[in-house]
Amino acid sequence: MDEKLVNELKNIVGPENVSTAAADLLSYRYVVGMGTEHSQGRPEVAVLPQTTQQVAEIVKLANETNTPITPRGGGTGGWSNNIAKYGGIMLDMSLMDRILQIDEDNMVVVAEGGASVYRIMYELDKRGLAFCASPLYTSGVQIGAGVSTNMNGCHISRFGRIGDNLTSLEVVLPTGEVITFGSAAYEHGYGYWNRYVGGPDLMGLFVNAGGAMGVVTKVAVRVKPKPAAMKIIAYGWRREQAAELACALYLMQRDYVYDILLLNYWNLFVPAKFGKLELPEHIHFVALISIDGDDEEDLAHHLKKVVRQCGENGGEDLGKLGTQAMGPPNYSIWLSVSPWMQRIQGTYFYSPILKFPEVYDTWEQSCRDWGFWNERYIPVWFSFHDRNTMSPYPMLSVTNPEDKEETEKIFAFLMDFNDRITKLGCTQYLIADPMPMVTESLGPLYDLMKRVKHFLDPNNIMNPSEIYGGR
Amino acid sequence: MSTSPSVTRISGLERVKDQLTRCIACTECYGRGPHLPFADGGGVVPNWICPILDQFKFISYSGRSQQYMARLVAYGHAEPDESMAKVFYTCTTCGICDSICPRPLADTVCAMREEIRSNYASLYPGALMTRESNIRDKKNFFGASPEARDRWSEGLDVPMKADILYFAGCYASYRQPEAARAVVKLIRAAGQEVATVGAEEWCCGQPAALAGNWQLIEEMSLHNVEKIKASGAKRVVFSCPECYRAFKVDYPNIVGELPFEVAHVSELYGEWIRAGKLKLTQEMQQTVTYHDPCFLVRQSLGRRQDVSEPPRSAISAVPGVKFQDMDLNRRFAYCCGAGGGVSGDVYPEAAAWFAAKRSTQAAEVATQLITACPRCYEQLSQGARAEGLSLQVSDISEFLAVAAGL
Repeated sequence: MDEKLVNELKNIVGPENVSTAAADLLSYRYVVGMGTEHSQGRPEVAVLPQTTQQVAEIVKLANETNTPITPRGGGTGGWSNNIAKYGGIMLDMSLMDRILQIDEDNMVVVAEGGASVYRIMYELDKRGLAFCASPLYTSGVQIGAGVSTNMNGCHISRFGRIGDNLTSLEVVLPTGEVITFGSAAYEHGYGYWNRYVGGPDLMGLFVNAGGAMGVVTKVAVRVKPKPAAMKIIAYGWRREQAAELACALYLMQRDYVYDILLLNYWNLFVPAKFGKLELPEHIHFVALISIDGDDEEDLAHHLKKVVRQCGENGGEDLGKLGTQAMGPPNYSIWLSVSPWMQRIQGTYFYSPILKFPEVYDTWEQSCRDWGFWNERYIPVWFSFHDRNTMSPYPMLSVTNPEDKEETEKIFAFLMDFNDRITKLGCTQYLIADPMPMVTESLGPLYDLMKRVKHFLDPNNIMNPSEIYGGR
Repeated sequence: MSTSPSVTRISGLERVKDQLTRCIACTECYGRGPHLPFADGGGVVPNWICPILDQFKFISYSGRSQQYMARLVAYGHAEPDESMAKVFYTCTTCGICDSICPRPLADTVCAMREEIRSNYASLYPGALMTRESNIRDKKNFFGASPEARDRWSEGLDVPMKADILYFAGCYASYRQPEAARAVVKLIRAAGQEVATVGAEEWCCGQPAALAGNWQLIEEMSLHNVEKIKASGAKRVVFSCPECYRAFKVDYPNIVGELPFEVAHVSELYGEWIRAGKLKLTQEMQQTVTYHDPCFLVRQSLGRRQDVSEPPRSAISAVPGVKFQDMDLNRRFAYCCGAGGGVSGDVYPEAAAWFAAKRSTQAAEVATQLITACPRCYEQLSQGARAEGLSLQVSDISEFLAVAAGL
């Protein structure tokens, strides 16, 4: 790395917030998804900006010197979009972590791009409010990166994903220009209250873009009141009842549920084996259903309807399993089975809820074809549900990520599985490279994405990857 | 006397190699934001943060990156350099990440230090070499005269045999004799007799183990256990949480099951005050807070074996005291920075940063800070002085001895 560039970065953010130390740089290779840990791609310098102005100056400097720059949140993504594949600058957003405003009049929270989603949830909780999505991955999760990956999680059944709840964004474009999107763009406006400004909705360019279109430095998201009353129930279905289950999911989504988390047998296999919960042998699918109400009476009314929908569609009441697996003891269960917890590798996509039977058949068949439908690989399936859409996270446990042969086989399997579900008609959660089956399938839309990328980032410095043409 | 440990131990990263591939990279160990939805045991935990990540900011200073770097070294993908060594020697091994993560994160740090000490000697810090030779040659952490070890008990006529034996540890013996004397006085005030092994007490060896020298703790344990056995004590008590942890967790792994119980003195105080055996008569009109030493609430003690309630109940029993916890308390307590004599000795400036932060947290809620660890006491006293805080820092035994009118 050019020493002059490093010194200029130090001038921008202070010397203590710039590092070229090997340990610091190496650590940015490690993310939730596997396959990057032994790659050669690592940043040449890591920077911790504290203000939007600093981000803008860093991006301008990167442009002047044609240096790749990779914005980074908590590194909890399962893709390689947060790895400095082409070296250059790692822009770690962790210090831009302030919660700027909780506007209860407009029911909006405004935070810097590096703010911890869990801390935001904590502060909202204290005020009787709830965030739109509760990510399963933990304290490193940052809201700006959540926008870049259209963060998913529990509670999207009621609220939708983060992209559905944005009211304003502040973004540093790849040229260094700072732009505010949404109502906050109005110079004398009411602030962060509304997404739409009278022109085209450009905010979406940065949602799910994997940090390739700009650096998200400020986020405003709608919040909702916390339910006054809530209950979690668990219903089970046998393997051959996938179609009935899909009907139940569809009906519940349409009506009264707060959240549904669908698990397959393999999710609960380990805690059941350790005696932490009781899972009847004939049950293959378990839906953990959160129901809310304005008060106990309202809750009882909603509960009655959901119970009827499950029962009429062949669901079996699993009693306490709901609170065992989903309530506060949930985390204890996972800790207690920790000897079995290990690296995971999966793929994430969207499917219409009613297509669940054929999509799940494809998961099982693919796993069987590759020899992964067994205790060793624990081929879990869990899915979030957002109105008509299911967001499945099928994944395998990786017994030893140091076993190159095994990990290569798993990656080949996932490519094959992605190929099969794309042909079925599913869409990807986030385009990662290499995924030729997806980009080919997108056709002219993919070409437009590349043109937009080139328009915003003429030097292709912002998180460059093969997705948008490489470097 | 036994001359070799009863359990053979694998050394260095080989010991944790299998665990290193199991980190799921989840970031819970960062502690950036409370874990709300699935928190263990009740939903909301305080807004805790990993202390070294808090200070050094880059994610390399986190349990997750430590696991990754240790894995790279263990599987031959990388060799440690100075920057990696800094990550592993600034870590205070406070174990706050262990209280969330099922992986042995603090133990990985110790394993990496063993690896560095054995195979990358040029990276092994000089300060730790000095400590090692102090412990090996003088049998104490400071390199002081072994004969002076029991001077703290002069005039107290402490016997060599009793059901309760007090293991004073290096700090109380050499640096904080008043704290050691307070322990003896309190035990006697509760109607019990207490013995010591006098100058035959050696360093517990915990600082050596934390630094990566397991052989030394083995040597110390064999000697100490043999001497205590000879005293016939049924219960050994400690005012130093590191010594307590060494006996409770490490010694059984070296010598097998111990033929006596072990307890921290604060456990006895709590028990005796509750039973009316130890009477606190002096009124102290103060707002008091308590700092949990890492070695009493985390550090492989197990969540249900921690010593967090007894010191609080003892302090709260003092007439006139208004007890007020800091936000970060019990297993989420922020570390004082001493790091078992490793990070504190190798990186004193970093240790001072932690001490300043923790003592400031205390000063925000109280005028009197009590702790139950001699190292924490020194750190926090220095932190309070450096920050110019109106905060009195006291050792729990000395504080209770005053309250008992001793």
